[in-house]
Amino acid sequence: MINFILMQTSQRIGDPSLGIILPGVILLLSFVLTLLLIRYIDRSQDK
Amino acid sequence: MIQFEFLDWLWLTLFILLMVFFGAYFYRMGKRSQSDFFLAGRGLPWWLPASSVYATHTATDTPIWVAGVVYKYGFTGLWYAFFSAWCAVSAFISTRIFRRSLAYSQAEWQSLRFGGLGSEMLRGWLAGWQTFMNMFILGWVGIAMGKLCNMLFGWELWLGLVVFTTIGAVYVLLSGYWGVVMADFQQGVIAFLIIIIVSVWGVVAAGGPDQIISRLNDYNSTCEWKPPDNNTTALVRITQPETGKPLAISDPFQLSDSVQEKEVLDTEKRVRSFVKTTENDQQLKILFPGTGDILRGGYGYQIVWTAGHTGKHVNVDYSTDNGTTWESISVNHFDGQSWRLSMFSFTGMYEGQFPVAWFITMMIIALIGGFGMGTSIDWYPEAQRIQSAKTVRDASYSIWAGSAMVLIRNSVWAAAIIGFFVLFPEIGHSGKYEMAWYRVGFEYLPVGLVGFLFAGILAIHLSTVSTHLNLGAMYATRDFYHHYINPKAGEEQLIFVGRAATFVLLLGSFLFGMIIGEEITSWLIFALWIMAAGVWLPNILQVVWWRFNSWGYLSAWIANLGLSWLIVWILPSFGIIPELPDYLQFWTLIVLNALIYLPVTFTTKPENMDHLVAYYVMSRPIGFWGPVKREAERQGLI
Repeated sequence: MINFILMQTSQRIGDPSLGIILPGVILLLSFVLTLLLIRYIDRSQDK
Repeated sequence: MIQFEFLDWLWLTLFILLMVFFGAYFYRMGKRSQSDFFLAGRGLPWWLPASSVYATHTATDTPIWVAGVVYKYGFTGLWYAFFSAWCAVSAFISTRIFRRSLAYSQAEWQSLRFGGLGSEMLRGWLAGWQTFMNMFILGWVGIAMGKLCNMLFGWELWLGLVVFTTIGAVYVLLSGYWGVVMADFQQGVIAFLIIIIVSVWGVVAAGGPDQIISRLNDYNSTCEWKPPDNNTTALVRITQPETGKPLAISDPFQLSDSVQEKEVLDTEKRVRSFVKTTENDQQLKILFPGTGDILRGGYGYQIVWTAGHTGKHVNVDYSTDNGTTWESISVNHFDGQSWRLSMFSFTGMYEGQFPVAWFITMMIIALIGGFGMGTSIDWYPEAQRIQSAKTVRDASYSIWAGSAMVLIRNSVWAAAIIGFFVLFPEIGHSGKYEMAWYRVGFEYLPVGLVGFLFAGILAIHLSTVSTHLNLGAMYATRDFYHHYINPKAGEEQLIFVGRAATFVLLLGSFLFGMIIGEEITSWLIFALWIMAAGVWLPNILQVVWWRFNSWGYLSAWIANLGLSWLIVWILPSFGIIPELPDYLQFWTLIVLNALIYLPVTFTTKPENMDHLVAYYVMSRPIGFWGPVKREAERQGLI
């Protein structure tokens, strides 16, 4: 069983703007790549 | 408990919206035929099933397990997770053979490879076993998610299990394997990047690579110990392995079963300072435990002694009768902490927690296992991905690339875990240090990335859940319903049964998840590894040796069910044989099982030659297939 008393202290490191930039970039990348994937699958099935 | 800020909720919500948006799109893809519902129409380019292999084998419990072995054994612990390398060999051998057979599942492949009554019995057995195993795995990863949500948000265990497994079930029910593989790609991108980000943060939090190396060189020695559940006075000693000569004995300390949580945490903080103290002591001293310390029985602690006095290895023992008799805690234990940076820190050929014999066994399992089918529990989801690839070559590339990503992922995790050890070297309780990777993420990432980390964990969870729901449903539908109950079922009927089976698996997984308790890890190792040890070699023989027949394979399964219990649990508990290390259990089961299935194989008839020729022509297996090949040539089929 996992011991649940874990979150004792939070010592956040790194510029706070990274909390906006990194998730934004990754979500956008995931969105664009999946969209491209769907278009690729559609095209290859049309053939 | 953790507090989510606005940014955290924002990213989590956007991630879920993205999932729903694409989920709705995938719906139209899965409803065309059972080939679409279970294999995405067998038309996928190699990189798509590869991303699915990676995403599926990254579950919520995987970082817990990898953190556990790396925190305990350093980089050497990575060998525990090296078994995925079987795919590197399989990609060019069993993957190609399986893809050429066009079987939907491993159970179906066996009915092509074997014939007659034995083959029918095998298919039924494997269909039932795989349906059950997928439900079991779903329960296991589901409850891991429940525990994580309990830790993060204080939710009841069942809530995290039910909510997030159900989300995965929705898109599997709607779009089948199309939904699984497309969502795996989308989730795999997020999961892979967030794993790298958390690991970078872990290394930075520990001061960077140079600081990690320098601190590990300076830290004192530690050895994990779970004291017995007694109320008594105890001693710990360090001895020289070769001579048994005592090098240091601790002052007496207390074991008690009534130590409060706060006292445990205070003790751990003191242990941290002992590990990090780098005074140049002139002689070896045990710094913890000692006078005034009260240790809780059954809870893990780190024994600490001054480094640099003992050469390479020491033995660590304890006594609860004032030194009259001593019990072993660790044999050939390393001095200092720098050994954690090596991948080859073994404790001897056969001795200690990490012997070379274990390593060799692991290498054989990883590399030779790739010649067979079913030599690893991962083979079964892999098999679905192999068949969904559009060509044999795509299947090979997908398995190779997917497993390469898994091994790279393990290394990225390991860097963060070593960083975590440098920050918190005092933890001796496995349940705590197994959460190392999650702690690095939730405690050190900036606001916004914390919520996104949870989205990444959700991605990891959903990809695993969706795979096992679809895979379990495939065995229940194709290999059980279609084969035994309604062979004339049409495409629409099979898709309906596939969806119904998915729903039943979902409900069953809730039940398993809630039943699963504290002891599950040892049961899991037993169920997935030791219980499969006796059929490891038959799983290879069925691929590479024409004479191996269904009766040999069936007898290996039946014998192994009995022998594994005898060797692992029953005989040791009666003192008839000693409790063997896991690698010796493996080899013992291999030999004993062979003494049963080899005579069975040779005393029963080979499979029908025409059946074997048909299989050979289609699959082109490698190995010892001379008579079958000659017959195929004689018939002009090749």
